[in-house]
Amino acid sequence: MKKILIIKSSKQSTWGSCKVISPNLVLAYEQNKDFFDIQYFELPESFIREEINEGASHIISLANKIKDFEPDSLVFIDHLPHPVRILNTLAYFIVVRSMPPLVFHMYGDFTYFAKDWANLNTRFKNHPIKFIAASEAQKNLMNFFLNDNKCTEQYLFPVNENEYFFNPVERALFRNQMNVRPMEPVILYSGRISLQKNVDVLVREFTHIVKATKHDVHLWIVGTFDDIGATFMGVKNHDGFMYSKMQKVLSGLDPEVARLVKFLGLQKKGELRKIKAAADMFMSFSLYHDEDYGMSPAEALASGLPTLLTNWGGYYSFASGNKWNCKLVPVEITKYGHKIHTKKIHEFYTDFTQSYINENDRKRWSNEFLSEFGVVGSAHKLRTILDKDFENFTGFHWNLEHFSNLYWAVDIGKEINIHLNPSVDTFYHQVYKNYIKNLNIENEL
Amino acid sequence: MSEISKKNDFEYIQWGYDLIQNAYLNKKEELASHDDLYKNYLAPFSFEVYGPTNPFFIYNGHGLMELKDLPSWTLRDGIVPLSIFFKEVTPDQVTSKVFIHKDLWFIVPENWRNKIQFYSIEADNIYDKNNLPEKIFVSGILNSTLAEPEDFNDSLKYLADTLGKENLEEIEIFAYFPDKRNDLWGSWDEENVLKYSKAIFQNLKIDIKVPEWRMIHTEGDYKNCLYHEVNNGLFVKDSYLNHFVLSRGGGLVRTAPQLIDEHFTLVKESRLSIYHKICIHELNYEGLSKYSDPFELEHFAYFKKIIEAGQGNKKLNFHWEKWYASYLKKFFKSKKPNSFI
Repeated sequence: MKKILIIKSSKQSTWGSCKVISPNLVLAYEQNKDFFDIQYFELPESFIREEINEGASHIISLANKIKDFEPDSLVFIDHLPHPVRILNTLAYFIVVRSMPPLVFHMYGDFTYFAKDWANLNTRFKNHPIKFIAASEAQKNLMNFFLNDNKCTEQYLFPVNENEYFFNPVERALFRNQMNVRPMEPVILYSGRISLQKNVDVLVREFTHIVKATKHDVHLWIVGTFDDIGATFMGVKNHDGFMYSKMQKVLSGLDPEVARLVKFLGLQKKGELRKIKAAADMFMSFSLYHDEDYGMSPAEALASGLPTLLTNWGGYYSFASGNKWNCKLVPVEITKYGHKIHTKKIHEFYTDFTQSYINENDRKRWSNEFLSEFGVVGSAHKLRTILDKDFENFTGFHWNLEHFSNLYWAVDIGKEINIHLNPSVDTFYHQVYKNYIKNLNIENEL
Repeated sequence: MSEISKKNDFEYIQWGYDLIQNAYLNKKEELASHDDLYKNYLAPFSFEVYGPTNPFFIYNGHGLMELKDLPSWTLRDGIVPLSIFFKEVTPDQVTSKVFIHKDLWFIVPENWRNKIQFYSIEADNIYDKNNLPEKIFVSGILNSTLAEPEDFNDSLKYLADTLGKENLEEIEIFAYFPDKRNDLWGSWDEENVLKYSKAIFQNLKIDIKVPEWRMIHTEGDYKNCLYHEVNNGLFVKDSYLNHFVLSRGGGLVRTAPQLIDEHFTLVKESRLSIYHKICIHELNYEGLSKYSDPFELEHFAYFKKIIEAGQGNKKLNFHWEKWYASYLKKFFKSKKPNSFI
């Protein structure tokens, strides 16, 4: 039986989606405990500072754990503390060639931490490594930055079947609580309300839908506002900006339309499941530069919701196959920025109104999705990846170093980063064209 | 369903325009970066925020910013910078509407009264004994920059009394006191630090967590959390941390009604987030005491002239500011708002 030592953070991440992803990954590994001997080692995020200031010996303990347990691979399942920082410190106590093969679960912040990842070249070239990307798009983006693509694998972060599923009773109760009548469709967006998530586009498109519909259509927006902006291209938002921006969009609407838009704020898992059950469709037009996966759409699909997503990043992995209802809105990177083909939104809505979707459809779609992307349903995929032979890491391409320099070169808030401004003429296009699935836009439209 | 009609079948996304929307605050930050006071010393309370009434610090640590271009400005500054503003700027120089914090009504000179309206930041979630939070987040600075030790103690005692000291054991409490060694005036009173520490643990409880700033700042969920900032508003009245927590679902402790409240009339309110809002008020000065001018002091003008002459005739310079601010701090401490009624 192969031995696996999983290295994880001793504290939960403050990043919303990672709070869900990391525990779900652990559950997926636990599903495979009949096939692997799994042990865990926890490290605090500030382990380096603790070693210096408090004389802690986390890394020595880890080195001892490796010597005692003799794992066949070291698996890093959290984005922080950063795996490369851990390994570079560990290299003081265990020579690299004696270290077991390495497995990294990759997160969207790969681009943010590009400099740290580029550091892996220094010590770990020719070491057996697997980078497990969270989607096909993330795998393509990683391959763009790698000298070869032998070390990349793909495993979508799993959804916990016990937390997200379709419950018709919860649907009826929540709709009643929100005073929504049975024939009134509810469009849902959940996730951070951040600049690159383009929730304002959804609100604008919603107005066209409302105008064309005889009865009320509702738009529920769940999540917190965040003002991270688009720092990679120099756009800095100040706290409160996104809320003001949304208020401006709403104030420009007919009051009869604006009253149908509800902001439900941040919700806990149980409440979110009820909301997802009560809604009729999920839409997200995110073009987030770190959209490697999409936990929120995954949870919507696990709730059996018909879902419309941008053909961007991790989102398009959900649209594979017809066993559940997930469609894509074509997007392009043009000379003048991103272009979203919004016509598809209305086609999706019209299709919805013309097809009678009942509780059985929702249950079936939920079950089908979970059988592929659930913790239990996807465990065998993880096992297959872990069982595969390792390839030696041939290093990151020089363009990763170049990218990280460009990422941090801009004076954020003062100027637009001409190299990473979304346009076909910039380096942004070279990197993020990997985030777009090749759809024949003419045919799609 | 009728056919959806639209002008275009596509939409261009150009986030560069959002940089322009934030430009005035970015410019302000750039200017403030030349100074340690607002950019570093009063951080994170002095971080910029965006809002419909254009929140702004009039004082950047070296001088007054100009109020132009926008129809209204919300001045987030506290007593000291605003007093400098009212002294150095005449009402005819400002065409925009100017809002200052409601608690600072007493520092508005007579010649400014027609120009000034007042704001308050109000949370939807208010906590007291009947509505207890799950968490309490306490913040401030452990020196006299934001509050003297006695005021610090009083503020925490009020918090404990309002929630019920006996209830605090069941509530998770965490604190963030940024590491500022000397107080703003360069002094370091070891004894005071002990007083601040005592005030925290004696009024609240022993089991208080002290997370790092990064953990606080990346946390997006402050639902069922009471935010309590010990800040007398000498420098920063409208704090970033207050907005940060309230906009993520946090709430405030119930405040006791003030006599002055009857004189305010609510004019307008605007949402700042799903969970909090800014209210704009007008003040009826009838029946209120006359403005007490901190600058009507014997030899004050002569002293200022000496300082100005010595510093190349600059209106405001570092030494002058420091003395000015120190003086005002003492003046307003000796004349608490209630003594004006």
